[in-house]
Amino acid sequence: MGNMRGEWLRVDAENVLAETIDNEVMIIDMRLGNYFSLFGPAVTIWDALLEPARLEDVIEAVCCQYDGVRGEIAAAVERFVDDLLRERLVAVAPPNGAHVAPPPSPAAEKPPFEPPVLEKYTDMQALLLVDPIHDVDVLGWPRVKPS
Amino acid sequence: MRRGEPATRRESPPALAFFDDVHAAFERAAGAGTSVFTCRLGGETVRLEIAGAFLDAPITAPLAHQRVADGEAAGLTTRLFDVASSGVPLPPRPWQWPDNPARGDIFGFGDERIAVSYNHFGHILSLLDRARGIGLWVTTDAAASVGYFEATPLLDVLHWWLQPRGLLAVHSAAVGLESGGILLAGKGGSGKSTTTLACLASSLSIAGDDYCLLSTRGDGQVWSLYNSARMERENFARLPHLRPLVSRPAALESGDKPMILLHGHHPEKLIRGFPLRAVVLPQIAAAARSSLAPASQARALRELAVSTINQRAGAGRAEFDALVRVAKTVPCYSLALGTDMRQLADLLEELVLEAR
Repeated sequence: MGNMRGEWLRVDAENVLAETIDNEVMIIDMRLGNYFSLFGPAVTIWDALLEPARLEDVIEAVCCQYDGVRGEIAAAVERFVDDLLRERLVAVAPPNGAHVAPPPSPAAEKPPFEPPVLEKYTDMQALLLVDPIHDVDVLGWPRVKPS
Repeated sequence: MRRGEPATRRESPPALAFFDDVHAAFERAAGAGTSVFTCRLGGETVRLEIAGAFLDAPITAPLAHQRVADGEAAGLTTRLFDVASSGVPLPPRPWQWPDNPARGDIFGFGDERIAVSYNHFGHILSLLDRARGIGLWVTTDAAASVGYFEATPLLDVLHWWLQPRGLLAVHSAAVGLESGGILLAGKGGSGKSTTTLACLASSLSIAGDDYCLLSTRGDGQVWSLYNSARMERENFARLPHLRPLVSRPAALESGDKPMILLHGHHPEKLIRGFPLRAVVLPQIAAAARSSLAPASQARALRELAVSTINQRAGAGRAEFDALVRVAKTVPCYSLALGTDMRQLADLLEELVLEAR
């Protein structure tokens, strides 16, 4: 997805439904029907992107919550944010006056950092994505195939 | 409209003009006669005016348990016809198809007043004029697509009308007692319908198999929507005594999912609704005995929201937030679904009684 450092990023709230529940983020992409689950550091990353944030802000948020080598955390966070961008769950979104979250405070106890994972489920795609419609009648309505 | 002034086409927004054109087609189809069916769904009265003979039975049978007197004042009147059997064509399609139409949504065509969808699987056009409380539901060839809509007809129109009135059509089964009951949520193949139909042998009654109505008014109430139940052919091996109840026995041998209309066979086992006490998430297991275990709220939300939202044109934030509230406020259980149907029914009965 290219160099996103310095870009302002944000969850695409218009096309994505998400809720943090039981320390898990459950996400539905309304465009394709795919759904996702996030755990652990992935939740921290997602929460940081609910408001416009830069990659360095997101890395800082994860470092405040998890214990690990900063360089390794930064690389893993960047890869994960790249995944979010690729799935169009997150988009480039300059703040334009929108609320920007303040820097987080370091947690008193930090669990060890593990690379975040984007769990993706695509089983609903077949219900949503129909083949392009080619066979229509003179009024433009799809022809019904004989059963 | 039939009883009002028709909108002037040049002055109307495109969606309203199209609605009026389809309504005019209904009036031509209705020239051969209409049947009327009135029902009450979650306290909301809905009137159906069905042109022609073919659609009457498949549309009204799943709603038969909710029927009320035809003279009762209805908030929503939905008018239905079939292009093939009536010989009345639809007006020309006024929108461009996107490459990958989703859920039947017609992006960029409907507006705040007119909702529209086209279901490509059943070849069904649905429209709702929210201002006048008039719906339109048109099949291109009902005889060819009846297997698609006969269990859960009119879903888009009903959803658009009922959701703003605090009733959400949820992809879930519901079983229980007057004192309370449970939602059974899960994707296709999870054993939801097998679990529902197993309850016929218990004291629990059935509010729905594929869909039910969930009140979003804060009263925690579940309401029945349809009395139809469909189960995968192979699962009739677990409940073989239900085979004679299948509406179209040929479906037991063909690719269609066999359907049972409970109102015609077990009206005493249907219940109008109950307070929601728990969400149960079935999953087929290898053991004989079924068992329950606490499930995460996130999993309950996933099982309720993904299919409810992904199968309904126009569904989005409001529906999702309503299901979030359910997942966060009601106990959730996973059900390992065993092969002993009697024990399964007893287990769920015990859960419902304990959850009162």
